[in-house]
Amino acid sequence: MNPNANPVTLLSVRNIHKHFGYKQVLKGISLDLHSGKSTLLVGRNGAGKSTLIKILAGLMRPSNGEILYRKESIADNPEKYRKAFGLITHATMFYGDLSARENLLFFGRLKKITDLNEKVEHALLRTGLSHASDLTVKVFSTGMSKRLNIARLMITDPEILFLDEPYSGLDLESIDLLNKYLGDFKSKGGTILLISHQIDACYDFSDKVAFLIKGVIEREIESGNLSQSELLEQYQNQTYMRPNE
Amino acid sequence: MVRDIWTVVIKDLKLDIRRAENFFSMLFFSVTILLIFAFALPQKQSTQVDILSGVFWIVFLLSGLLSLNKTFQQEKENGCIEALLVSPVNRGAIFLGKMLGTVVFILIVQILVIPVFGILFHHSVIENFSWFLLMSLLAALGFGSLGTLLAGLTSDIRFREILLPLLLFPLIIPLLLACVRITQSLLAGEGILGAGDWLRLLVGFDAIFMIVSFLVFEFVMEL
Amino acid sequence: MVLIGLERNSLRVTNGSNIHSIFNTLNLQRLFLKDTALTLIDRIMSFNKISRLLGFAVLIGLILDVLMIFAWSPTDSSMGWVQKIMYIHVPSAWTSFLSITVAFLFSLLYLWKRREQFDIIALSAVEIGVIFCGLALITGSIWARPTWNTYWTWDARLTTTLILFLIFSGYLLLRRFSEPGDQQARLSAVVAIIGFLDIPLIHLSVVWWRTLHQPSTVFSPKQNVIDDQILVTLIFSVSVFSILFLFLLLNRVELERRNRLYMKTVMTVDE
Repeated sequence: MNPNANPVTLLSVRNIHKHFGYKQVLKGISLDLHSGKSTLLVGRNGAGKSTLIKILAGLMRPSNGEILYRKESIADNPEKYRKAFGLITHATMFYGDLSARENLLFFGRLKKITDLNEKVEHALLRTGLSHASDLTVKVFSTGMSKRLNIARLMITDPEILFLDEPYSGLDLESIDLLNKYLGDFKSKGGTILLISHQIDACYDFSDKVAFLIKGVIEREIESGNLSQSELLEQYQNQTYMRPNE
Repeated sequence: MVRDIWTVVIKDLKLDIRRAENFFSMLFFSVTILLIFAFALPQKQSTQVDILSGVFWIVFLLSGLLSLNKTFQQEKENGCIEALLVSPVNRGAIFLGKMLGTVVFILIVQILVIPVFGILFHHSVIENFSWFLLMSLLAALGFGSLGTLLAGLTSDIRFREILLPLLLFPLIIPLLLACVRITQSLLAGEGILGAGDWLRLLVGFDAIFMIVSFLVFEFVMEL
Repeated sequence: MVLIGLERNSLRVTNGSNIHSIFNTLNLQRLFLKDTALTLIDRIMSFNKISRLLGFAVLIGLILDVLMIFAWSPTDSSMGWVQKIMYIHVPSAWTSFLSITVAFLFSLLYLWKRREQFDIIALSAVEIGVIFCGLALITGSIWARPTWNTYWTWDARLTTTLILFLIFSGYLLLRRFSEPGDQQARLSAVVAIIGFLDIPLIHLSVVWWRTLHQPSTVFSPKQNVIDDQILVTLIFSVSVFSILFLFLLLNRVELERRNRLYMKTVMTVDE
């Protein structure tokens, strides 16, 4: 059965607000993530994109609103929810003094992955890091760390991916690697929420584009109705100019 | 849960081994403070049992502070704490893992510091080595619990190096008093039960703050 | 002079005193109060009325208290006039413990409900608590000098008060070193909770460590060693200080609330 034929709502974001001190960063975000679909979230710096991802990943609590994973609030069973998603952020999130393999094994163990050793070796092979698997991560280049992040996603086998600027610092080869992984991931019924300024890199597999402006999702566009150049134009209009100016 | 705690402890200890400079700086810091006390205290009195146990626990607290400062800095370095927090692991398990890692680290340093202390101050310390190690364990449990909680709490805050001892030291005064008294009775040859009430207080303190820290750690670990 | 544009209307704000006009225009004060613990009271009476009432009660109470202390209660035969400082010392200590207890309860409530109002109350209570803790320590040393011939004794209750003062000064420092918001509120609440839970242990350990203080004569069920008039005056003092605490708490909470509201208004205007 093709899972994309009948998409399920995996994650449902309802009216999320977030205050930071005196400032309100998110002002009522509602968003649905469906299986087999990917959503590209674009917006200016400081629009609240990364904050939204942190809230969705359960790293922050929203000041208001709720997040439903398969119709169940994520606050009710956080551990089950945390098993279901993968995360890439600006930080590499690896221990510099552990080797690549040790890092993967550590996070894999915490995620209770079965057949961990084989999966780790396989992921290292696919990301082309086998030759460096015993080096400590602190000697890795940015690109290698990013690829190691992709390897971590491969072993943890999530259902939802939150990717915050995953393309930054990647060479073309690694972009292909990531896109191939994301394509497979989608065809298996996963859902992706992506933040990126590199529209050309992620246009092909974005099904929906959401414009986050000043803490509000101003509009959502099905990217099927839009060519890449139209999207780029929209993107520049929406994100680099204030709507009222 | 137990497996998760174990995984975190092993990871922390592995990092400690890879960063042996942490261990050695704590060890030499302890020895340096011991030397300072040896020079600063009057020679005759330094052999007196009362002062000995005070010196020992001051060294313990000051060097223990170093081990607390490092635990969350390691996690913050590459944003590892976020990867740890999105793992399907109870926040309490992360707390216990990091706390036990700190306790083991402190104990390993103490194993080397206690003989040095005995050599510099009084031979009876070496004769009571296992008692001193047990006392270090009991102290490290309470100190490690509150310390790990507060180290996590201050990890995002400016001037955390100052704030951590400012918050921690007043809170662990019962622990300090109990340890000093029990050690005094040990050195006076009355055995560990010579201060039975204090021992009960110490164990109670450990238990209360291990549980409380375990419960509230979740609130500290939100970003 | 600040010129602030709000949405499409522009408002000219000359200084802090005109701040009410912003709140009224935006109807923010109502909005903010809507889900707070004080809603009910607020409906019955305005903040100003309660505050004035309490302030009046405190004023009358303090005048009466001074009269009772100096004109009515007998002068202690052994300690003389110095003993009168007890009527400040004991209520100060009492008020500081009361404040810390209030702070503890509202910190728990904050972690549970995450309402900003609870954080404001906890913060205000700790500030008042630290001030009265300081007062208790100062009056304690003044009292100790002629009584025990020393400014500081490691007496159990004084020492506990000192440690309490340090813990909650740490709490206020934590507030200063962090940015206002949910994180600050959560971290401070955790400190207030462990600080409060530590008090019995601290007190027990300090009592065992050393006791010099006269046993708590007021509340001990033994024979009535304390003079009736002294007791009545003391209880009256404690009550007046408790009302004073309420008065200060209410005003501090309102001040903090207005301050935060003002900052929020300014921040939204900034966009």
